[in-house]
Amino acid sequence: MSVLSDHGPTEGPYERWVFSETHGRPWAFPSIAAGGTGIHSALMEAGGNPADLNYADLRIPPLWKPGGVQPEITPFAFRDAVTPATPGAGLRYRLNFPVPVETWTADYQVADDPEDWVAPAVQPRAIVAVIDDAIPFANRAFLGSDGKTRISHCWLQAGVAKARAPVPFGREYTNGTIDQLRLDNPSDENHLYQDAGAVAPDMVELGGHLKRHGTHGSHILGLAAGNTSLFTGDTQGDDIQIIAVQMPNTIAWDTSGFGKEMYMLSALHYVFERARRIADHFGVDELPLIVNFSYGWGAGRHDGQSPMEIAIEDLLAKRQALQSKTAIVMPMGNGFADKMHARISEAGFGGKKYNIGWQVQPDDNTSSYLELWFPEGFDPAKYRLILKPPPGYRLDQKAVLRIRGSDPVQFTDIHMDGQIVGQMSADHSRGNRWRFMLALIPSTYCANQSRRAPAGRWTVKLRRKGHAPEIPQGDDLLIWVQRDDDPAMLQSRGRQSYLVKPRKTGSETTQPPYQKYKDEIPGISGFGSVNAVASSSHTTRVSGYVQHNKRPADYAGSGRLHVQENQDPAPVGAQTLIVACSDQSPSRPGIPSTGVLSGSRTRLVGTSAAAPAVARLMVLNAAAGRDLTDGLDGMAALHSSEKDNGNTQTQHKARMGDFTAPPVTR
Amino acid sequence: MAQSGGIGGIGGIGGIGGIGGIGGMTGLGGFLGAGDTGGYDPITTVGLQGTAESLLHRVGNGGVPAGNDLKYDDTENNNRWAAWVRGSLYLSEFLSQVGYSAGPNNAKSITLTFAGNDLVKLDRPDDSLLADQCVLVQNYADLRADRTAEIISQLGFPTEYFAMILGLHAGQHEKTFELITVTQVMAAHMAMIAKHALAIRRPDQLDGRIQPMIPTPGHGSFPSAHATEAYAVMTVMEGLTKSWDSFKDQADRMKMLRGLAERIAVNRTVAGVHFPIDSWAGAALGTALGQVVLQLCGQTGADAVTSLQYTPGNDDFSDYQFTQQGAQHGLQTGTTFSVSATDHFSWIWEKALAETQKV
Repeated sequence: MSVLSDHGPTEGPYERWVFSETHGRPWAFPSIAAGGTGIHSALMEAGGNPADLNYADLRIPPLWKPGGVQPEITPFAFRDAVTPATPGAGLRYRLNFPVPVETWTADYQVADDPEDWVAPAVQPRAIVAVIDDAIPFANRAFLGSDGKTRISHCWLQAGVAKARAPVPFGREYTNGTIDQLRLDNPSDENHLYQDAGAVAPDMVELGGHLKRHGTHGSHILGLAAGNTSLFTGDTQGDDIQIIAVQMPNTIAWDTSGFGKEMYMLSALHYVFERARRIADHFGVDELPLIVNFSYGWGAGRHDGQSPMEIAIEDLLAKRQALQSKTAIVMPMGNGFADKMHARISEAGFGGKKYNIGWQVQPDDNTSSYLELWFPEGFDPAKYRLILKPPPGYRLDQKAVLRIRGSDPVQFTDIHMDGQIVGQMSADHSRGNRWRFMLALIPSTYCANQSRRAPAGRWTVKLRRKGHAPEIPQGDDLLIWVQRDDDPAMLQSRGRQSYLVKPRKTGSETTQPPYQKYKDEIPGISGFGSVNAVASSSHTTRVSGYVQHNKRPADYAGSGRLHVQENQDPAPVGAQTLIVACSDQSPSRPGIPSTGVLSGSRTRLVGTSAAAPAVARLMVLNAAAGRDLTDGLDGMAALHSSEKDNGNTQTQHKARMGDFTAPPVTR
Repeated sequence: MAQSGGIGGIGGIGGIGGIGGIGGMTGLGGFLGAGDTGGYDPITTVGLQGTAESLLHRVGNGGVPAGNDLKYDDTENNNRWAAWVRGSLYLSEFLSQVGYSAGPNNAKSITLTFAGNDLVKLDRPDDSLLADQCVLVQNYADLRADRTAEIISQLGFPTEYFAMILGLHAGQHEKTFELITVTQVMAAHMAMIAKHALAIRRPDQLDGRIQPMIPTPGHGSFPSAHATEAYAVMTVMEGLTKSWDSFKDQADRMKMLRGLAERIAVNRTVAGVHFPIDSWAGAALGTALGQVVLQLCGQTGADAVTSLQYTPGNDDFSDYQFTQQGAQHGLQTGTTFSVSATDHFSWIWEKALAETQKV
């Protein structure tokens, strides 16, 4: 898709990279690499209404629109070959992933009642929702005391569509459907999921993940909403209903930080909208709603102004105005120790040049991305970005990026042996903040391509002229490397690139390894390794601690710290609010929860598991009429092996937040 | 002392024991060698001789009093024999009634018969069907990480998995284990006959992307011997545990037993060594065979064996489809027939029956 004159898709750096055959498309997720499906997902920003595009086959998923007010960001999807009779002039949107053809509902009727939905026997006092991958909706951990499922609505966004449905794509399973499936398959859940059309190994977006012993989704849903002997504390009663959304597999597969928002945002709207329907049935106002969304990525603005974060904030602010017990719980991320974040202060810049290493691993089958963000309002016109390949390799011409003219999106391609191996870009995000971005193709020959990016130590050089503006005091230039591994075993075969400290920086203070908080916070550190989708001010951010010693888990993401001139750190931007147990001990990493089949259990390591533990406690509180944070402790005390001073206390707070949630699993 | 039996090499009937060696991963030898006394180590042998010679002067050199005869050709003696000897007896009773014929006019099918009755007829899958099935085998590779432990520990007979569900242990269920082993060995023999006749290539020979995670066995793919054995054992154990009248939760255990049989079969597809249709054929053969074993044991009354015919199509395998939708997937039931009880099968049945725990 190209940029149209006055309406149509906006082309940002990720869009150009992923949708262009000469750039990153051969290694994009399967449906894009294969040329798309003819059905696109997209986001309309700035309060625009996609319906005004006048596209022939355009769909807006179920939206939660209190008062009928158009959301700030609206997800939608449309078919190709739609020439609008009257183009919606001035409407720009952001193109997302393709929608699989078999998931496209032939007759989408958004106002229809969800098929076979049955009113719960008990009026709900709270709703807990989970948005994740493979959701085992028939697991008996989610049954109420009457043997009926508490899962009121469950939307498989990549499920095979029914002929007519109130979801635009995928398939919705209501409580009535799930109970009937359980009746039809009383002793064979494997066949139940087959029977339900929830397992399709030949459909890349749906897949056969519900055949696995455990999935990310099974673990998270169990923690947030399950009742089994695994879980401590109160049982979730019949007055807590569940809403779930299973996202397409490529949401987790793709390594870039774009393209997934339509599915993510439509999942949130679906949860809010179906919660509204439940309340409507009982003739009550909005019910308390706790949504767990254990997902995110590493690179981004981290200031609450990315499209997804604006959308989350918009939803939360509006719903909390109607029902204060509304929360979207998200993990801080697992990148603290992965050297994926660096900050550059004016002092750290050291005059006119700054170098940092970017280590690209061999056998990386996916594109690698690095983002450099300037402070909001900062003009980097006098700054240049230079990318130097690893020793022993030469680029066809020097890779230099500088901003020329007033175009808010500018590109420079990186060539090697006559072929494009990378892209440098500068874009003025939302017209208020500049980003330099680097993209590299995989480091191995794959996808029938005769090009690859060399693995090894690339050098990222930032240069500025003498009269260039300095980095403001109290702020930093910020670098994030995008997540690039394969946590869900989706066989993307990505390998994580990471940052290497500049040669000229001094050696770090040697301190015992049992002291996690160092006297000096290095330029490359995990303080700032915040999930790039979780920076909205109303988001409930959760990091992880080790139950055995009440210390932060080594990987658990942390709020950003700026090191002041006096060397004292100070928190900046989105910080940890709550920590929950994500490891039972160093020798028992992770926490247990439910597997796919009833009675099975699985173990997951990471803040993804910490978040739903908090969601569980919150919804129990909400149903009992208590404050959402009731029963949580304050910040855990500094461990006795740490130095106790202002510096370490600030670091501790960034990692451990305001509240400590008790363990919810045995 | 080296009493473990092993593969029958030292055993008196080394030739039969040697079959176990051929059996390899299906573990025939484990049963046929069981109880084999083997030989002492050389030092002990010499020591025994020396001690014997030092003791003989204490007794005279008169005549030897006559003993009592053992019963002639009677199963009452069975407990005196090593397990591998009983194995030969079971095999003789069983195999003497087994026959097979290739389909008429080169129709590329095999009919396995028992006591002159058609037991199972398996039609040979054609090459294009095998190629289509490779896609399913590839898909199942997604589960390898989940199931590695099961797959590796089920290379031989997965008896421990049945024991887990039925609460069996060596101290109380020696003869039940023997009945399970008997069933597995008979199932393996029947499967090998069909595999030989139908001669179906393994998935990895057709599709280089399968890349099995275990060695591909040295016999044909269709039917799956693991599926045959698992469904046969399930059928026999269902009969035995009903006769035990032991478990209060008998029905639940049978559901799990059936799920186990399915899982053992499917695990071989996950591993990359079997097509789903192999499991269909094996489940059919194993079910019929289990009914035969029960009849040989004197159980289940008249006409309790139902002959089956399987014509493969490009289907995935699941126990649900096998039991509920077989006709839609090429599985046809035929006539029923009876098999006469035999001495040794009846004997092991009675011994196993006595091991009920009466929960």
